[in-house]
Amino acid sequence: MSSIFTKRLTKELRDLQANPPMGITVQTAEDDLKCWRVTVRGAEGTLYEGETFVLQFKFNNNYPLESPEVVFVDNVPIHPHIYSNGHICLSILYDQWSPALTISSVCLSILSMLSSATKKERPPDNAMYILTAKKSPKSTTWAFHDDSV
Amino acid sequence: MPQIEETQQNVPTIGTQEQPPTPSRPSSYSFDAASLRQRNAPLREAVGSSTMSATASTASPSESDRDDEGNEFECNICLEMASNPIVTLCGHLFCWPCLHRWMQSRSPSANACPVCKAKVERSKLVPIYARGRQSKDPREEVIPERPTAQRPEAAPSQANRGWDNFFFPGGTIPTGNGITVGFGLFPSLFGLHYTFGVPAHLGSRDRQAQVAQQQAFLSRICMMVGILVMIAILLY
Ligand SMILES: [Zn+2]
Ligand SMILES: [Zn+2]
Repeated sequence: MSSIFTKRLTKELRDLQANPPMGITVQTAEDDLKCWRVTVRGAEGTLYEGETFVLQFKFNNNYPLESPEVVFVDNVPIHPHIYSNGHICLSILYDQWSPALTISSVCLSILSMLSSATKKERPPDNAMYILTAKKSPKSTTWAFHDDSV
Repeated sequence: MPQIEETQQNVPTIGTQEQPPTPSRPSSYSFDAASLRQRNAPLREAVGSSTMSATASTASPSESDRDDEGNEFECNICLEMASNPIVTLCGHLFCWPCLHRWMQSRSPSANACPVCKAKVERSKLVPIYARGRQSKDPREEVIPERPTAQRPEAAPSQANRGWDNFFFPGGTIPTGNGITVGFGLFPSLFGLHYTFGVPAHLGSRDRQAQVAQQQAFLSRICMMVGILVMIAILLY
């Protein structure tokens, strides 16, 4: 189990460093690859153009069978699906996770979620959510109402 | 002159169309460099094989290894060359151990193909039997955790679902056949008993009854005849 974890994360790190998709840079992969920080850059021509954000990935030993815990840290983008505590309302991070997804494809999904925003605003239930939410977004029961954004 | 202006106007519009990609160049450079290296590899291989066979033979193994890192026979879960490869009906390739773990996981989509979300049934997986791959595979250490014998039982059961645990355990057809024959014949044997055995019993009972009735009838006639003969003798 853990051998897949190490091999796959090593491979993903190597691929991301050798062949980074546009706007995605791995900063660090620490603690035996269990905690990564990845910088994503807002795409040109979108509301987030020129801004950079840092995503934190935390993997447990069941990765890739279990989703990583992904949150924005430091500078959290203002977006209708991103809570001010950094939690991201994106189905593939929770019950729609698939082991065929990679760190790279998750970052690209988050970037495309940013790109499709038409308005910079927090989710309507942000204040409520950040009061009740646990530290890990994976302990939240997410309801995905809107697949378009 | 106006025509020239028009063409001059056209040029800048093409230029502006080209402008958006230019800021992306710094990051796409690395992409291009890597892909160029990959593109060059087969070229070098081709040149080597046409000119110097010795260098080609030394160069090709390392290049094929490099190709393995990004080629089409990677498992979609561990991203390595699939070991104990298995293919879903939707055509996606996995290591059997990897897919098995996914299907056993608590994920709400554990019964879906990780790549395309198509429904995945264990009985409809197709194992791929390549030649010599498995013995070479360094990940064999992981494989024994998952008995490979479980894999073949899935494939032939396309014909008969439900019995797949009995059909080909480990691909041993004789035992499988023995059991299927057993299962196959029992119902028909019962059927035989019911259709033939029971009427036969009823028939014999009828015959016995008929014989008994006939015997009783005959004995009564004999009795009557005897009595009549006795009366006739007594009277005459
Ligand atoms: Zn695999
Ligand atoms: Zn599929």
